[in-house]
Amino acid sequence: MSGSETSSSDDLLIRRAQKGEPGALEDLIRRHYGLIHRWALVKTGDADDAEDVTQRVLIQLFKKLGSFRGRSSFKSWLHRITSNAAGEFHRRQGAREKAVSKWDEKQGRESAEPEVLRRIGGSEAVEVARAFFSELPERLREVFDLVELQGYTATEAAEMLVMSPSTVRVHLLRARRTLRTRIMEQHPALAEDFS
Amino acid sequence: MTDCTTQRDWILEADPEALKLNASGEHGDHLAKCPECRALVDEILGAQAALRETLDSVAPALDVEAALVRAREARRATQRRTRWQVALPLAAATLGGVLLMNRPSPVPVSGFDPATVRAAAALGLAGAGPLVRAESHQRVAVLPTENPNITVIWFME
Repeated sequence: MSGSETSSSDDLLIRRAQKGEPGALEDLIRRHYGLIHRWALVKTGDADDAEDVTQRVLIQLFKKLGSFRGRSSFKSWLHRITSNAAGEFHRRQGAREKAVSKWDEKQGRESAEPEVLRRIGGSEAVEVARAFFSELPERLREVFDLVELQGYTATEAAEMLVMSPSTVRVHLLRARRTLRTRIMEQHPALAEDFS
Repeated sequence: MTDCTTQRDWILEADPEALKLNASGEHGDHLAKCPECRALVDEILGAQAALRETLDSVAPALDVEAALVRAREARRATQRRTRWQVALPLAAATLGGVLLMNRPSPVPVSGFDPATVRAAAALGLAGAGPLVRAESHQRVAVLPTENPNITVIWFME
């Protein structure tokens, strides 16, 4: 399904949900559930916290979809709701440091999440994910994920993150440099060639 | 490897598409003939692909249908709480209003004879104090007229 097809069928579902048609809001949520969780994971840096934030977003959707007027795209609006929910979660939990340390802690024990990471991506994936969450501040993580990994344009990401496209580009370059430097450091033989 | 060192800044910030093997231009030419830089770029691209795959694969532990049930429940609980938050002050205000309406006349009873108090109450002057005072031996008749602004009061010996 292309982006515009997704967008137009989103619009249809939103209109139906706003008219109170049973099941329309649920269909909309089913369609974006994974994406909300992905954004929440990138923001919080922790799979459990991401679950919590995702749940809050769903509640907000039940509450606020009626007020969506389409002034921005639905995805931008949804991303902002996710950001706000994560912000509120951070405030309550006492925040980002905890998320990073929890991520580190989880790498060292046999919990379900690192198992998933190892099984799918191998140790390299775990290492790069660890660098992604511990080396990049939240804003840089979001930009890197949206543009570099999910393929949004800088303009689309800027609308989602409520910042200018040029700021998005600056953040993206900084994120790339930080992450790639870390990747290089993990392979000293490659780094030596440049010293 | 001075040339490689100069390429390093570019490699660290370049768009992934530009890093790919068939990229054109000065940087592409360098990558095509330098195995060390090529190895570094491959490592970076591989790591980024692994990161993408990893993040794509971390699905929520809670099934969407279960999440919907929870969200609906939480929403209902919030609505119930909101209703109570509205209903309780409303009930308190109503109770306060009833108590206020049924309170005893604020006209001070002591110091005035009952006829004076009744006259003041009939004139709707409760709380403001009596405008007229009957002597202790007098009887008072309060006669309302058709004009609500006029009340006739007789003081009888």
